[in-house]
Amino acid sequence: METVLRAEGLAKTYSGDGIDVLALRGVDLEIGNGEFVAVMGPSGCGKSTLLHLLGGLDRPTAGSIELAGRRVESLSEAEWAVLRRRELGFVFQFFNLVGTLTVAENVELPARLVGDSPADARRRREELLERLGVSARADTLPSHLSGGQQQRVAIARALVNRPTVLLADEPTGNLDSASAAEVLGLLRELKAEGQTLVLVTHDARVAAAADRVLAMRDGLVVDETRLEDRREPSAVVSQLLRLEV
Amino acid sequence: MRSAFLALLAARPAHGYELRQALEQRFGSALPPMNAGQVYTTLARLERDGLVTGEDVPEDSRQKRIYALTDAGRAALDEWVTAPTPGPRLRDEFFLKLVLARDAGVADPRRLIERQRHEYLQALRDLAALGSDGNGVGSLLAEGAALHVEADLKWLDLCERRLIEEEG
Repeated sequence: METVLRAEGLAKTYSGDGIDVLALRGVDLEIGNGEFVAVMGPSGCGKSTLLHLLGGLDRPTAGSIELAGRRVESLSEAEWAVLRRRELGFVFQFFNLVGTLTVAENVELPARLVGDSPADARRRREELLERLGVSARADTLPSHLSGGQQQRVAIARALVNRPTVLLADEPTGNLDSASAAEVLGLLRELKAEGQTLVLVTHDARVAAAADRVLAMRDGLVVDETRLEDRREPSAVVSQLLRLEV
Repeated sequence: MRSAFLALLAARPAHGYELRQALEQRFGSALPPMNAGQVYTTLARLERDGLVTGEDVPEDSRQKRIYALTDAGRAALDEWVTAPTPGPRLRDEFFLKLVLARDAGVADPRRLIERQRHEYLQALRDLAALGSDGNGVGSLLAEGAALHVEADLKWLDLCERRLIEEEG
Protein backbone atom coordinates (compact mmCIF):
# COMPACT_ATOMS: atom_id res chain seq x y z
CA MET A 1 0.00 0.00 0.00
CA GLU A 2 1.37 3.36 -0.99
CA THR A 3 1.98 5.68 1.96
CA VAL A 4 0.14 8.98 1.60
CA LEU A 5 0.86 10.47 4.99
CA ARG A 6 3.92 9.86 7.09
CA ALA A 7 5.11 11.41 10.33
CA GLU A 8 8.38 10.79 12.10
CA GLY A 9 9.35 11.88 15.59
CA LEU A 10 6.49 14.34 15.64
CA ALA A 11 6.60 16.48 18.78
CA LYS A 12 4.80 19.54 20.03
CA THR A 13 5.53 21.60 23.09
CA TYR A 14 3.24 24.43 24.11
CA SER A 15 4.98 27.12 26.08
CA GLY A 16 3.24 29.67 28.23
CA ASP A 17 3.59 31.28 31.64
CA GLY A 18 7.09 29.87 31.85
CA ILE A 19 5.75 26.31 31.76
CA ASP A 20 6.35 23.91 28.88
CA VAL A 21 3.59 21.44 28.16
CA LEU A 22 4.69 18.43 26.10
CA ALA A 23 1.54 17.71 24.13
CA LEU A 24 3.22 15.31 21.73
CA ARG A 25 6.45 13.50 22.55
CA GLY A 26 7.60 11.81 19.36
CA VAL A 27 4.98 10.09 17.23
CA ASP A 28 5.79 7.95 14.19
CA LEU A 29 2.95 7.22 11.84
CA GLU A 30 2.37 5.86 8.37
CA ILE A 31 -1.01 6.04 6.67
CA GLY A 32 -1.50 4.01 3.53
CA ASN A 33 -3.59 5.08 0.58
CA GLY A 34 -7.21 4.11 1.25
CA GLU A 35 -6.54 3.29 4.88
CA PHE A 36 -8.89 4.25 7.70
CA VAL A 37 -7.06 4.98 10.93
CA ALA A 38 -8.73 5.97 14.19
CA VAL A 39 -6.90 7.55 17.11
CA MET A 40 -8.30 7.10 20.61
CA GLY A 41 -7.20 8.19 24.03
CA PRO A 42 -8.27 10.19 27.06
CA SER A 43 -8.62 13.97 26.95
CA GLY A 44 -5.22 15.61 26.93
CA CYS A 45 -3.38 12.61 25.48
CA GLY A 46 -2.34 14.63 22.43
CA LYS A 47 -4.64 13.12 19.83
CA SER A 48 -6.15 16.40 18.65
CA THR A 49 -2.69 17.98 18.60
CA LEU A 50 -1.53 15.12 16.37
CA LEU A 51 -4.43 15.67 13.97
CA HIS A 52 -3.81 19.42 13.88
CA LEU A 53 -0.13 18.91 13.08
CA LEU A 54 -0.93 16.38 10.35
CA GLY A 55 -3.35 18.86 8.82
CA GLY A 56 -1.04 21.85 9.07
CA LEU A 57 -3.38 23.66 11.46
CA ASP A 58 -0.45 23.90 13.86
CA ARG A 59 3.34 23.52 13.50
CA PRO A 60 5.43 20.79 15.15
CA THR A 61 8.26 21.60 17.54
CA ALA A 62 10.21 18.68 16.09
CA GLY A 63 9.82 15.89 13.58
CA SER A 64 8.82 15.56 9.95
CA ILE A 65 5.59 15.18 7.99
CA GLU A 66 5.31 13.87 4.46
CA LEU A 67 2.01 14.32 2.62
CA ALA A 68 1.49 12.76 -0.81
CA GLY A 69 5.26 12.35 -1.20
CA ARG A 70 6.19 15.87 -0.17
CA ARG A 71 7.92 17.10 3.01
CA VAL A 72 5.59 19.68 4.45
CA GLU A 73 6.49 20.39 8.07
CA SER A 74 8.37 23.58 7.30
CA LEU A 75 6.04 25.04 4.70
CA SER A 76 4.95 28.63 5.21
CA GLU A 77 1.42 29.44 6.31
CA ALA A 78 0.51 30.44 2.74
CA GLU A 79 1.92 27.24 1.26
CA TRP A 80 0.05 25.18 3.85
CA ALA A 81 -3.17 27.00 3.02
CA VAL A 82 -2.89 25.93 -0.60
CA LEU A 83 -1.89 22.38 0.29
CA ARG A 84 -4.72 22.01 2.79
CA ARG A 85 -7.31 23.02 0.25
CA ARG A 86 -6.04 20.63 -2.38
CA GLU A 87 -4.95 17.59 -0.43
CA LEU A 88 -6.89 17.59 2.82
CA GLY A 89 -10.48 17.66 3.98
CA PHE A 90 -11.35 18.57 7.56
CA VAL A 91 -14.35 17.59 9.61
CA PHE A 92 -14.73 19.00 13.11
CA GLN A 93 -16.81 18.16 16.15
CA PHE A 94 -18.75 21.43 15.97
CA PHE A 95 -19.15 21.39 12.18
CA ASN A 96 -17.49 24.82 11.66
CA LEU A 97 -19.75 25.78 8.77
CA VAL A 98 -19.81 29.45 7.77
CA GLY A 99 -23.01 30.71 9.38
CA THR A 100 -23.66 33.50 6.89
CA LEU A 101 -23.39 31.26 3.81
CA THR A 102 -26.01 28.80 2.60
CA VAL A 103 -25.40 25.07 2.65
CA ALA A 104 -24.61 25.16 -1.09
CA GLU A 105 -22.18 28.06 -0.70
CA ASN A 106 -20.44 26.36 2.20
CA VAL A 107 -19.81 23.23 0.14
CA GLU A 108 -18.72 25.12 -2.97
CA LEU A 109 -16.38 27.43 -1.08
CA PRO A 110 -13.26 25.21 -1.03
CA ALA A 111 -13.71 24.44 -4.73
CA ARG A 112 -13.94 28.13 -5.59
CA LEU A 113 -10.89 28.84 -3.42
CA VAL A 114 -8.75 26.49 -5.52
CA GLY A 115 -9.95 28.25 -8.66
CA ASP A 116 -12.55 25.83 -9.98
CA SER A 117 -15.20 27.34 -12.22
CA PRO A 118 -18.59 28.10 -10.66
CA ALA A 119 -20.14 25.42 -12.91
CA ASP A 120 -17.69 22.72 -11.76
CA ALA A 121 -18.09 23.69 -8.12
CA ARG A 122 -21.85 23.63 -8.47
CA ARG A 123 -21.89 20.25 -10.16
CA ARG A 124 -19.78 18.62 -7.47
CA ARG A 125 -21.74 20.32 -4.70
CA GLU A 126 -24.97 18.97 -6.19
CA GLU A 127 -23.57 15.45 -6.43
CA LEU A 128 -22.31 15.48 -2.85
CA LEU A 129 -25.41 16.98 -1.26
CA GLU A 130 -27.54 14.51 -3.15
CA ARG A 131 -25.44 11.65 -1.99
CA LEU A 132 -25.39 12.81 1.62
CA GLY A 133 -29.15 13.29 1.59
CA VAL A 134 -29.17 17.03 2.22
CA SER A 135 -29.81 18.38 -1.28
CA ALA A 136 -33.25 19.68 -0.28
CA ARG A 137 -31.49 22.02 2.18
CA ALA A 138 -29.05 23.54 -0.31
CA ASP A 139 -30.41 27.09 0.04
CA THR A 140 -30.79 26.98 3.81
CA LEU A 141 -28.46 28.55 6.35
CA PRO A 142 -26.58 25.99 8.47
CA SER A 143 -28.24 27.19 11.68
CA HIS A 144 -31.58 25.90 10.39
CA LEU A 145 -30.27 22.33 10.11
CA SER A 146 -30.05 19.62 12.75
CA GLY A 147 -26.62 18.64 14.05
CA GLY A 148 -26.57 15.49 11.95
CA GLN A 149 -27.46 17.45 8.80
CA GLN A 150 -24.82 20.07 9.54
CA GLN A 151 -22.20 17.37 9.94
CA ARG A 152 -23.19 15.83 6.63
CA VAL A 153 -22.84 19.23 4.99
CA ALA A 154 -19.43 19.60 6.64
CA ILE A 155 -18.41 16.22 5.23
CA ALA A 156 -19.60 17.28 1.77
CA ARG A 157 -17.50 20.43 2.09
CA ALA A 158 -14.48 18.39 3.18
CA LEU A 159 -14.85 16.11 0.15
CA VAL A 160 -15.53 18.70 -2.53
CA ASN A 161 -11.89 18.96 -3.63
CA ARG A 162 -11.42 15.17 -3.57
CA PRO A 163 -8.85 15.26 -0.79
CA THR A 164 -6.00 12.77 -0.54
CA VAL A 165 -6.75 12.44 3.17
CA LEU A 166 -9.90 13.25 5.12
CA LEU A 167 -9.06 14.31 8.68
CA ALA A 168 -11.81 14.33 11.29
CA ASP A 169 -11.74 15.46 14.91
CA GLU A 170 -14.55 13.80 16.91
CA PRO A 171 -16.96 13.80 13.96
CA THR A 172 -19.75 12.23 16.04
CA GLY A 173 -18.83 13.93 19.32
CA ASN A 174 -21.66 16.43 19.18
CA LEU A 175 -24.38 14.24 17.67
CA ASP A 176 -27.23 12.20 19.11
CA SER A 177 -26.90 8.47 18.61
CA ALA A 178 -29.13 8.28 15.52
CA SER A 179 -27.20 11.07 13.75
CA ALA A 180 -23.91 9.54 14.89
CA ALA A 181 -24.96 6.23 13.33
CA GLU A 182 -25.71 8.03 10.04
CA VAL A 183 -22.35 9.76 10.00
CA LEU A 184 -20.67 6.47 10.83
CA GLY A 185 -22.48 4.78 7.94
CA LEU A 186 -21.18 7.52 5.69
CA LEU A 187 -17.60 7.09 6.90
CA ARG A 188 -17.86 3.36 6.17
CA GLU A 189 -19.06 4.09 2.65
CA LEU A 190 -16.21 6.51 2.06
CA LYS A 191 -13.75 3.94 3.27
CA ALA A 192 -15.27 1.33 0.95
CA GLU A 193 -14.74 3.75 -1.93
CA GLY A 194 -11.07 4.04 -1.07
CA GLN A 195 -11.03 7.39 0.72
CA THR A 196 -8.11 7.67 3.14
CA LEU A 197 -9.43 8.63 6.57
CA VAL A 198 -7.69 9.65 9.77
CA LEU A 199 -9.88 10.48 12.67
CA VAL A 200 -9.71 11.17 16.35
CA THR A 201 -12.62 9.84 18.36
CA HIS A 202 -13.98 8.86 21.74
CA ASP A 203 -16.67 6.84 20.03
CA ALA A 204 -15.72 3.16 20.08
CA ARG A 205 -18.25 2.34 17.36
CA VAL A 206 -16.58 4.80 15.02
CA ALA A 207 -13.15 3.42 15.90
CA ALA A 208 -14.39 -0.13 15.29
CA ALA A 209 -15.03 0.75 11.64
CA ALA A 210 -11.33 1.58 11.12
CA ASP A 211 -8.57 -0.66 9.76
CA ARG A 212 -6.32 0.37 12.64
CA VAL A 213 -6.98 1.94 16.01
CA LEU A 214 -4.10 3.77 17.65
CA ALA A 215 -4.18 4.30 21.40
CA MET A 216 -2.49 7.44 22.70
CA ARG A 217 -1.40 8.22 26.24
CA ASP A 218 0.62 11.25 27.41
CA GLY A 219 1.68 12.39 23.97
CA LEU A 220 2.71 8.98 22.65
CA VAL A 221 1.13 6.23 20.60
CA VAL A 222 1.28 3.30 23.02
CA ASP A 223 -0.75 0.61 21.28
CA GLU A 224 -2.25 -0.34 17.97
CA THR A 225 -5.18 -2.63 17.14
CA ARG A 226 -5.72 -4.00 13.64
CA LEU A 227 -9.35 -4.79 12.93
CA GLU A 228 -10.75 -6.99 10.23
CA ASP A 229 -14.04 -8.02 8.68
CA ARG A 230 -14.56 -11.61 9.63
CA ARG A 231 -17.00 -14.28 8.68
CA GLU A 232 -17.15 -15.82 12.11
CA PRO A 233 -17.86 -13.50 15.02
CA SER A 234 -15.47 -13.60 17.98
CA ALA A 235 -16.06 -15.63 21.11
CA VAL A 236 -17.02 -12.44 22.93
CA VAL A 237 -19.77 -11.84 20.40
CA SER A 238 -21.09 -15.39 20.31
CA GLN A 239 -21.33 -15.30 24.07
CA LEU A 240 -23.15 -11.98 24.08
CA LEU A 241 -25.62 -13.14 21.49
CA ARG A 242 -26.37 -16.36 23.28
CA LEU A 243 -29.86 -16.17 24.78
CA GLU A 244 -30.57 -18.29 27.79
CA VAL A 245 -33.89 -20.07 27.61
CA MET B 1 -36.87 -23.02 28.41
CA ARG B 2 -39.95 -23.53 30.61
CA SER B 3 -41.18 -19.94 30.38
CA ALA B 4 -40.43 -19.73 26.66
CA PHE B 5 -42.63 -22.78 26.07
CA LEU B 6 -45.44 -21.36 28.20
CA ALA B 7 -45.28 -18.14 26.15
CA LEU B 8 -45.50 -20.06 22.87
CA LEU B 9 -48.37 -22.22 24.13
CA ALA B 10 -50.31 -19.08 25.12
CA ALA B 11 -50.86 -18.48 21.40
CA ARG B 12 -52.01 -22.02 20.55
CA PRO B 13 -51.50 -25.64 21.57
CA ALA B 14 -48.53 -27.30 19.92
CA HIS B 15 -46.36 -30.38 20.06
CA GLY B 16 -42.74 -30.45 21.13
CA TYR B 17 -41.17 -30.27 17.72
CA GLU B 18 -43.29 -27.25 16.76
CA LEU B 19 -42.22 -25.42 19.90
CA ARG B 20 -38.57 -26.04 19.23
CA GLN B 21 -38.95 -24.93 15.63
CA ALA B 22 -40.80 -21.76 16.62
CA LEU B 23 -37.99 -20.73 18.97
CA GLU B 24 -35.33 -21.49 16.40
CA GLN B 25 -37.14 -19.49 13.74
CA ARG B 26 -37.58 -16.50 16.01
CA PHE B 27 -34.10 -16.29 17.49
CA GLY B 28 -31.91 -18.26 15.11
CA SER B 29 -28.28 -18.62 16.08
CA ALA B 30 -28.83 -16.58 19.25
CA LEU B 31 -30.21 -19.73 20.88
CA PRO B 32 -28.00 -22.44 22.24
CA PRO B 33 -28.63 -25.66 20.36
CA MET B 34 -31.58 -27.58 21.86
CA ASN B 35 -31.82 -31.33 21.70
CA ALA B 36 -35.07 -33.25 21.49
CA GLY B 37 -34.46 -34.83 24.88
CA GLN B 38 -34.33 -31.42 26.61
CA VAL B 39 -37.52 -30.35 24.89
CA TYR B 40 -39.48 -33.43 25.96
CA THR B 41 -38.10 -33.45 29.51
CA THR B 42 -39.11 -29.81 29.91
CA LEU B 43 -42.62 -30.49 28.60
CA ALA B 44 -43.01 -33.54 30.84
CA ARG B 45 -42.07 -31.45 33.87
CA LEU B 46 -44.48 -28.68 32.90
CA GLU B 47 -47.21 -31.30 32.64
CA ARG B 48 -46.29 -32.86 35.98
CA ASP B 49 -46.47 -29.39 37.59
CA GLY B 50 -49.93 -28.81 36.10
CA LEU B 51 -48.88 -25.88 33.94
CA VAL B 52 -49.73 -27.63 30.67
CA THR B 53 -51.91 -30.58 29.69
CA GLY B 54 -50.85 -33.14 27.12
CA GLU B 55 -53.11 -35.08 24.83
CA ASP B 56 -52.04 -37.84 22.45
CA VAL B 57 -53.36 -37.25 18.96
CA PRO B 58 -52.85 -39.73 16.14
CA GLU B 59 -51.04 -38.21 13.20
CA ASP B 60 -50.05 -40.29 10.16
CA SER B 61 -49.23 -43.66 11.67
CA ARG B 62 -47.84 -42.19 14.91
CA GLN B 63 -49.01 -40.54 18.07
CA LYS B 64 -48.19 -36.89 18.76
CA ARG B 65 -48.59 -35.30 22.13
CA ILE B 66 -50.17 -31.88 21.82
CA TYR B 67 -49.66 -29.56 24.77
CA ALA B 68 -51.97 -26.77 25.90
CA LEU B 69 -51.61 -24.09 28.57
CA THR B 70 -53.63 -24.55 31.79
CA ASP B 71 -54.90 -21.70 34.01
CA ALA B 72 -52.00 -22.35 36.37
CA GLY B 73 -49.67 -22.23 33.36
CA ARG B 74 -51.17 -18.91 32.32
CA ALA B 75 -50.62 -17.53 35.83
CA ALA B 76 -46.99 -18.74 35.82
CA LEU B 77 -46.48 -17.11 32.43
CA ASP B 78 -47.96 -13.80 33.63
CA GLU B 79 -45.65 -13.90 36.61
CA TRP B 80 -42.60 -14.50 34.39
CA VAL B 81 -43.56 -11.80 31.92
CA THR B 82 -44.28 -9.10 34.47
CA ALA B 83 -41.47 -9.81 36.96
CA PRO B 84 -38.47 -7.50 36.57
CA THR B 85 -35.58 -9.33 34.92
CA PRO B 86 -32.26 -9.36 36.79
CA GLY B 87 -29.75 -7.05 35.05
CA PRO B 88 -26.70 -8.34 33.23
CA ARG B 89 -24.22 -9.76 35.65
CA LEU B 90 -20.64 -8.59 35.58
CA ARG B 91 -19.55 -12.11 34.75
CA ASP B 92 -16.15 -10.78 34.29
CA GLU B 93 -13.35 -13.25 34.40
CA PHE B 94 -11.14 -10.56 32.96
CA PHE B 95 -11.47 -8.40 36.05
CA LEU B 96 -10.47 -11.31 38.24
CA LYS B 97 -7.47 -11.95 36.00
CA LEU B 98 -6.46 -8.32 35.94
CA VAL B 99 -6.52 -7.80 39.69
CA LEU B 100 -4.93 -11.12 40.62
CA ALA B 101 -2.27 -11.07 37.91
CA ARG B 102 -1.33 -7.55 38.88
CA ASP B 103 -1.15 -8.36 42.58
CA ALA B 104 0.94 -11.46 41.89
CA GLY B 105 3.17 -9.57 39.47
CA VAL B 106 2.80 -12.28 36.83
CA ALA B 107 1.63 -10.00 34.01
CA ASP B 108 1.80 -6.35 32.99
CA PRO B 109 -1.73 -5.09 33.67
CA ARG B 110 -1.36 -2.50 30.92
CA ARG B 111 -0.78 -5.26 28.35
CA LEU B 112 -3.74 -7.22 29.72
CA ILE B 113 -5.99 -4.21 29.31
CA GLU B 114 -4.69 -3.54 25.81
CA ARG B 115 -5.31 -7.11 24.74
CA GLN B 116 -8.81 -7.01 26.14
CA ARG B 117 -9.45 -3.71 24.37
CA HIS B 118 -8.42 -5.28 21.03
CA GLU B 119 -10.89 -8.06 21.69
CA TYR B 120 -13.75 -5.66 22.42
CA LEU B 121 -13.03 -3.42 19.42
CA GLN B 122 -13.06 -6.43 17.13
CA ALA B 123 -16.30 -7.55 18.82
CA LEU B 124 -17.85 -4.17 17.98
CA ARG B 125 -16.70 -4.61 14.40
CA ASP B 126 -18.27 -8.10 14.23
CA LEU B 127 -21.49 -6.80 15.77
CA ALA B 128 -21.74 -3.95 13.27
CA ALA B 129 -21.62 -6.52 10.48
CA LEU B 130 -24.24 -8.70 12.17
CA GLY B 131 -26.45 -5.69 12.90
CA SER B 132 -26.54 -4.66 9.26
CA ASP B 133 -27.87 -8.04 8.17
CA GLY B 134 -31.41 -6.72 8.12
CA ASN B 135 -33.00 -9.42 10.27
CA GLY B 136 -35.09 -7.34 12.71
CA VAL B 137 -34.78 -9.42 15.87
CA GLY B 138 -31.15 -10.30 15.13
CA SER B 139 -30.02 -6.73 14.54
CA LEU B 140 -31.78 -5.56 17.68
CA LEU B 141 -29.95 -8.19 19.67
CA ALA B 142 -26.66 -7.20 18.02
CA GLU B 143 -27.35 -3.57 18.94
CA GLY B 144 -27.93 -4.56 22.57
CA ALA B 145 -24.69 -6.52 22.57
CA ALA B 146 -22.81 -3.55 21.06
CA LEU B 147 -24.06 -1.26 23.82
CA HIS B 148 -22.73 -3.74 26.38
CA VAL B 149 -19.35 -3.89 24.64
CA GLU B 150 -19.17 -0.10 24.59
CA ALA B 151 -19.78 -0.10 28.33
CA ASP B 152 -17.07 -2.75 28.76
CA LEU B 153 -14.62 -0.55 26.84
CA LYS B 154 -15.41 2.41 29.08
CA TRP B 155 -14.91 0.20 32.07
CA LEU B 156 -11.48 -0.87 30.76
CA ASP B 157 -10.51 2.81 30.57
CA LEU B 158 -11.61 3.19 34.16
CA CYS B 159 -9.64 0.10 35.22
CA GLU B 160 -6.58 1.52 33.49
CA ARG B 161 -6.92 4.84 35.27
CA ARG B 162 -7.67 3.48 38.71
CA LEU B 163 -5.43 0.43 38.81
CA ILE B 164 -2.44 1.62 36.85
CA GLU B 165 -2.20 5.36 36.74
CA GLU B 166 -3.49 6.20 40.20
CA GLU B 167 -2.17 3.29 42.22
CA GLY B 168 0.98 3.00 40.12
